[in-house]
Amino acid sequence: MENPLEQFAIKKLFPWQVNGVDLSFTNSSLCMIVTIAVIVFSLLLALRKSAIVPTKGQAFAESIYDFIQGMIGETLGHEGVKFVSLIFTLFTFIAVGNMLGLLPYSFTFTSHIAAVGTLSVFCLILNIYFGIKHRGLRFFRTFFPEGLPIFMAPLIIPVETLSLLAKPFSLTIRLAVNMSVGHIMLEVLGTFIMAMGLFGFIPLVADMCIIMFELFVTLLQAYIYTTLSCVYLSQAISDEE
Amino acid sequence: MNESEKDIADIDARIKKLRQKHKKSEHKKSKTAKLWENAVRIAAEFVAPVFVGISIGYLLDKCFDTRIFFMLILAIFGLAAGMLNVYRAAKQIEKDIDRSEQ
Repeated sequence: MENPLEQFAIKKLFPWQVNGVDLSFTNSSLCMIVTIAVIVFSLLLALRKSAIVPTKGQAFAESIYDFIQGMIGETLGHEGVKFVSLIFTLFTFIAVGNMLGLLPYSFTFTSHIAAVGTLSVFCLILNIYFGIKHRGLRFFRTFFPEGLPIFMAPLIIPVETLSLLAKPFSLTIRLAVNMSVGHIMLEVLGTFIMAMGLFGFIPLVADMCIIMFELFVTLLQAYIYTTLSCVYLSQAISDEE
Repeated sequence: MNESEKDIADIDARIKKLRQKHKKSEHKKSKTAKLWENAVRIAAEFVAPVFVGISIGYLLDKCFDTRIFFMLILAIFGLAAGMLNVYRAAKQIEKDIDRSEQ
């Protein structure tokens, strides 16, 4: 039986070392570039003839944009307008990356903690930046809310710091684990199709059902990732304790 | 009211009806997505600070050669942070429900 974890192996396509630092171009990098190319090309194609009465492609692209705008409106309110392009990029990158990972012989970069973690840490840095920009030094009140007695500081400050640092971690683990588990299940059931011979249709049907479910999960996970990024951003820029 | 005005009024009524139908189905879909989101969120909100606490504690213990002192302390802080996160998430969910009911 083939190792179901082999599909997550990083393969170096163009090895490159700079002062002992590995900067190789890998299958993960290739998949990220393909994802960006697919998003840019399909959006350009859909919006090349923008009109008041939209074509199907334009309506589809606009409906994704409306969806993101609605999501941001719910969590960030009017303040969120300037973040629409950032969240739209984040959502499409994760959703398309997840979906491309379902294709045979492709690679799911969203199942790697390193790839998703980088995005999540980037979100955390943005949260801190916009938090300080909007609230000034009051942002640091997050670590020690107003009204608490000073002797509570040694307890509250580490708890709040851990709570802040855990945000990118929870975002990363949720997405990476969900994507990995789905792909492992598909691979395991796939090996049973040939092994069971005449009765191979049973795991085949199960595999088909899981692929449909995975398709739903890819979009759901992208939605959850972006919604929670918005929630964390709203917590950083709002004055509510 | 002439024929063309009648037609326009008829089209208006049909558009309104379709919009209402669309709004209802959208609301139902977003409610399901929200439920999924909340279910997945709470668990991760609790576990994540504990893991982060233990990881930072492990690194500090390695740095200062202190066996499991920092790991233990930061695991307890992580647990507290996890509970605080769950409380905050629950409060946020309650707020969202109240807003959607209004």
